[in-house]
Amino acid sequence: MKSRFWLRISRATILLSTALVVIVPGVAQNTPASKPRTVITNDELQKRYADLPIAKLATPRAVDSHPDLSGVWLNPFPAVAEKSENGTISFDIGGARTSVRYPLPSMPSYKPEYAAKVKAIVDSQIGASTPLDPQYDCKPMGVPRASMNAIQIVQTPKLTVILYESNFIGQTFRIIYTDGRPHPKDLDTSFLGDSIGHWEGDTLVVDVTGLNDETWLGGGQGHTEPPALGEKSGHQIVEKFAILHSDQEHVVERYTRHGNLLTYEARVEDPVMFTEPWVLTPRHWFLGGPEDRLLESSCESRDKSHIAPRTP
Amino acid sequence: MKHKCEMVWLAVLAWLALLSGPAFGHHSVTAEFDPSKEVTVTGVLKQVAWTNPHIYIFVEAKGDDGKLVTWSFEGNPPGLLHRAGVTKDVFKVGETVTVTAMPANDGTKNLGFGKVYRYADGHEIRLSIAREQINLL
Repeated sequence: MKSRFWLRISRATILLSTALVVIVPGVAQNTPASKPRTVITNDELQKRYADLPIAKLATPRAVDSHPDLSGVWLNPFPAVAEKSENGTISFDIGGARTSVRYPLPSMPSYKPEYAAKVKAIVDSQIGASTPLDPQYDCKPMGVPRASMNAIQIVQTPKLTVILYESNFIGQTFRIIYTDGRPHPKDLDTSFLGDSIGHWEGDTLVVDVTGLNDETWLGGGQGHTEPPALGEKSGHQIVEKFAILHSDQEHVVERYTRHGNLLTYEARVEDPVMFTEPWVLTPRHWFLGGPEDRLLESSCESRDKSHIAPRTP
Repeated sequence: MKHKCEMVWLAVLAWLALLSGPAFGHHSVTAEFDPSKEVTVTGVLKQVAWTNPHIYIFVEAKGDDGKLVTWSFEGNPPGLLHRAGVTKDVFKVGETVTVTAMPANDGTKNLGFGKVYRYADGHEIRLSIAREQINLL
């Protein structure tokens, strides 16, 4: 009898669980539960950005005939705040599952000794965070990690300035010299290094060197990509195993504007830690409207001390 | 029976897979706070720190011993709130507020993630972290 009872319970559990697994996501996601999730390739994803109507708009030109990258560039976040008549405000971070499964972003290929260090960091994370992460000290994010939030580009013929808004880094900017000068010979390593740029066709190509080893490359936190064609809201890129780099890091960035879409590509070399260069999954920004402006990025290290496992 | 056991395990695993989505955005709330617990505090809202990576709301309340203690309630990132239309001034310094919060994972006293701020006139500010999944990778 006992075993039959447990069999019944088991059957009930299976049925209930299966029903809930099928139904709950359908309700929560507002999508048909039976719809299979489509896996799309990175090439397809990039095409869906290129096919956006805003990418088909005319690309404005600067006085020197290069594309004008100037403007506030946003990666719109789906957060919303609903306000009711009695003054109640309901802030919702937004987002929903869709029927599309996105490709995993590309990751660096580490030499075994560094792969082990990276794995140890990932394994020590609590809820995808760890107090080891330099961002909790509000240090500048480094390159390419800084390029994950809203930016403002101010372009002139001889230099381009990128201003960064971030949750963590505090006020940060980079100056990219495009007057033909080389990197300085007396370069001290720094969080954001030294940047020189030139144009290859309609793409601003930036060479970054002189980076210190105190930043992380990507990290488990992830960042939001704006919605590609057919998406209601953006999707997340989590470069989970893109963490450590040495002070021999060398980055070549490519900024390309198509209409009101800005695409960021980067290739990261690290002869000390990598077995081969890391080519990032491209990132994107949408041009902000005339009323959009960067917000102050002050940062205070309040969170770090309480990233901790649960105590009973 | 072995087959049945496997099916039960599959169901359990499916449940776990459903419940454990990836952390959203910049920082996972569960790294610091326990969503399975709740604490409610009534006191005077003394300060709003509109800072990155997360805002902090400081509320002075009477402790069990009757002495005043200051609670720190973490919130979402200020840029995220601002761009969604939640500005610093809506929290109203000086008002009496009842805060429902998730307590800290490590048992740090007088610290939580503020989910609901209820004011004397009945209106609330609700900060959500619940829908953490977005176009899952």
